[in-house]
Amino acid sequence: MSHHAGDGSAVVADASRVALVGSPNAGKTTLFNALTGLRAKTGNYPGVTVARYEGVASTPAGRIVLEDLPGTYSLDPMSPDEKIVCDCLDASADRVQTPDAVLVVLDATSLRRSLGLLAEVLRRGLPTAVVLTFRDELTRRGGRVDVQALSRAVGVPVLPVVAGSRDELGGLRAALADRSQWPAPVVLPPTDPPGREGWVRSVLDAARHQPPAGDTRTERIDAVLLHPVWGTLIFFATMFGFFQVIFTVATPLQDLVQRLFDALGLLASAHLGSGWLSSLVTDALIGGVGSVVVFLPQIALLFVLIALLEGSGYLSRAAFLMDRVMARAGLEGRAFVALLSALACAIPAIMATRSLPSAKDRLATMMAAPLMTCSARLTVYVLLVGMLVDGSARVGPFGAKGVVMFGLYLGGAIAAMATAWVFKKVTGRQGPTMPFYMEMPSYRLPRVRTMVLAVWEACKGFLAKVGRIILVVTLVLWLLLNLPARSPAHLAAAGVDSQDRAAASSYVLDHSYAAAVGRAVEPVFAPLGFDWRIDIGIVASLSAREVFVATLGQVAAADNPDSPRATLERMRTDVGGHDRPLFDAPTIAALLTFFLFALQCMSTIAVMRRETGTWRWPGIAFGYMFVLAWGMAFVVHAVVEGIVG
Amino acid sequence: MIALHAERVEGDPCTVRWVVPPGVVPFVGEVLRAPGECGSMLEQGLLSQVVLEATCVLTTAVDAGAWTELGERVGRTLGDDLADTAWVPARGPVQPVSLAIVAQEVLAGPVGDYIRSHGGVVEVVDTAGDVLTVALRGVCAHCPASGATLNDRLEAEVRRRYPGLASVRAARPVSRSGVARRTLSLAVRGRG
Amino acid sequence: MTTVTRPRVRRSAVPATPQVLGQVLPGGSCRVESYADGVDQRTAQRLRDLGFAPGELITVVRRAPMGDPVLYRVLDTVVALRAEHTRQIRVSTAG
Repeated sequence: MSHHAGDGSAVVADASRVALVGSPNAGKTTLFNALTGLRAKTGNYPGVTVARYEGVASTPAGRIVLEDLPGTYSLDPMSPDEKIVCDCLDASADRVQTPDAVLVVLDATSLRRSLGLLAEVLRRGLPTAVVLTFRDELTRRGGRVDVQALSRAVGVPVLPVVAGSRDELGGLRAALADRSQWPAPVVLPPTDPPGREGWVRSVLDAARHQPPAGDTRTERIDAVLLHPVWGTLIFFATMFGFFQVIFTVATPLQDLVQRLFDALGLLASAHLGSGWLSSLVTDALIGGVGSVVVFLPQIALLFVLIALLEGSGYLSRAAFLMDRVMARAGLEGRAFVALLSALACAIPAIMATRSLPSAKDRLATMMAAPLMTCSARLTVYVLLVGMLVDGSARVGPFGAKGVVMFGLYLGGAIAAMATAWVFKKVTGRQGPTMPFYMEMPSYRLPRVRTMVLAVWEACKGFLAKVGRIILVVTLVLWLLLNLPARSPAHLAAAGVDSQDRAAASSYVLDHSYAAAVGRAVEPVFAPLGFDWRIDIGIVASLSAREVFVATLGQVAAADNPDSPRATLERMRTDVGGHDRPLFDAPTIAALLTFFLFALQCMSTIAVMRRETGTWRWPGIAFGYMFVLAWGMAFVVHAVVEGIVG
Repeated sequence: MIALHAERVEGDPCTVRWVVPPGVVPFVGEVLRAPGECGSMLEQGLLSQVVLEATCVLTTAVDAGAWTELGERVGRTLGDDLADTAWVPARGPVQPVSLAIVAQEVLAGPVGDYIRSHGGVVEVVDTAGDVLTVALRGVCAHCPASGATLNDRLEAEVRRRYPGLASVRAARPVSRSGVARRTLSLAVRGRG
Repeated sequence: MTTVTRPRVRRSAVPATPQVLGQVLPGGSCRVESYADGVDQRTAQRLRDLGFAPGELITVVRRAPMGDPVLYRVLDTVVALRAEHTRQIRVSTAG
């Protein structure tokens, strides 16, 4: 559930490959993280839409590549993910590279179910070992299994892992090192269902297996969290608290980042004087990048909370509680998880739709996900809502800003659900239907390591995006806004005093290339109250929504670099024939609405193209979202204008 | 359908141990003639020996490499074949499954290995009345954990293979006064 | 081990004893007999993978606040299924 970049090429050429296989929730990814740490790499399997996670793990006998295959219940594939596991273990399928060895991760609390998967994997004939997880939970719930006897019965090594301690991982690394010594079963498990069921029973009997009792701790928590009244209340309180935390806890951190960049800007201008270089460095580089980096605390916090909900097991409960609601939109509870992660970014959300077994559900969720309020929209919202609503205004006990924000998030969610419903209707009833099922994991304390990794990946991806796209776009924008350069003679000829810096910059801006572009698209957005300066921001924000903020910052800085926000609020326009503040309430409301609906994100379009394998769906998504955005913004502009007067 | 699985026999790649539930083997000992795949493989000389134990069937192939192919064939039908009456023992009268045999098998297997690995020796003294009496020697004689070992490992494994087991007792020599008997708890300790 | 308890039957349900999994109320247990005629092949396969296989003991844990889906304990795990599928699983409550 993080923003990944990179391609699917091999991590270490010629290194041995070991694949991790297991059912969902077996602890596969935790093990992968523990063994590979921060050296994981994400890509895609060729030709399909399934994420590929690879990482380098060191063993006493050198480095190996670990591959975390998608979770699966059997090698009888139903979804694209399961098909990948199946193909990967099939030496004759050359679409996916076959690993040199396999680690089958089995949850000790669900051996009666998961041994069937082991039986299927053993039949593939690859060197195999079993990693047994959650043995501590098995003991807590009154169950037991004799690891040595289990190993004897299944015929391959069984390596128990409880806490992922250094010792255990050391043992695992040692076992990975001498994988050539792993014994193979003398006779492969049977293929026919009754034979396989008998094999599972016989193996568990030999391992003196005692199945765990129901998890009373989880049942007690569920009695509250899934209660018809309390459970529903807690769910909404959790979601509301989620946003309050993101906005309140992040603010001091953001102020810190802002002050850091302000100091950098002052330092730069003190050394560079007041020439064009100073403007480029302070306004474009430091100002543009800083205006986006300031959102890093919020993104980190968002991912901490999502990792917390996921790691504790509450996210599955949320999906369970929301299933009926999602069913109204023709979706299922798990789509809720994908849509929730769209709050961070539509890209991981679109990738998360892979967990949906139904292709139709995946498409509908993909079309809906970009409407959820992502963290990039957040930057735009924070700026605009700050201008629209007075910071001290309150609605009951809550800050008015927070309430408007919540409304925007709610609006995005409703629009997403409606979109999913429409697309589910349009794609119709053709194609196979997938059964709905969802496993409820026991409540567990989230692992700090997993959470740190999720946040690290998110921040790394965000900074990479800032480093590449936003840096380039702000540079290009600065050039467009400041070129062609005007000589003092030219300014004098135009009747502008070149000694008056603000007037000179204003003239340069008004006659820049950017202005030409903005004026060219002005007729399209004029009915919404946007003038060419906002239009420039909208065009530029196609690269990434955050750029809108950086662009307005630069436009404002041209007039008054010391206080861009105050300048924005003072800006005036004469769109529609009469002079008015550019950022009056109807325009801000229309802008917010436009950003709520529009697909202003090239990365999302690119991911959608990759996931669906065709330009058709991203094209449709961009088209309908633009029409929706323009139409809704027009309506909102008219309504707010009517209210304000 | 009898639930079963195959295990390798350490140090003997030609032999496969088919672990079966207690009470399904017709007798204990070497097999002369058998029904189904096992029988035809014995006749064809693919298998050199088939031995029935209380909870397993030991099949020995002439060639260790043959098991990849033979194993599947045996495994597919062995469960049904055990219900057949056409099993003929190799020599002497039919020896039914007895507690003495089961106990010897268990002590020769992994449980015995575990005890030996700790420097202990356990021998069967008596099996009258389905009460297994064993003598603890070596380290076991003075080990405070020997009771737990007997209870958890030996008794559980013997009971699994011989459900009629009444109890396990330790007979151990005590200075001057011959043999003192210590009765071990019959009840499996209650768990959560 | 879990014991088979006498299932409580919803008043609106017509049969005196539940015929399909969807009719067993929370707290009740039953054993899977077979799948309804005409059940989708993939659905049946996935239900089997999850443990809803003939002969398996199922305990109904709880309903979602809006009545659907329902949580079931099967093979030591807890799985949520929708009514559209639990209608297709024939069960017996004899034990």
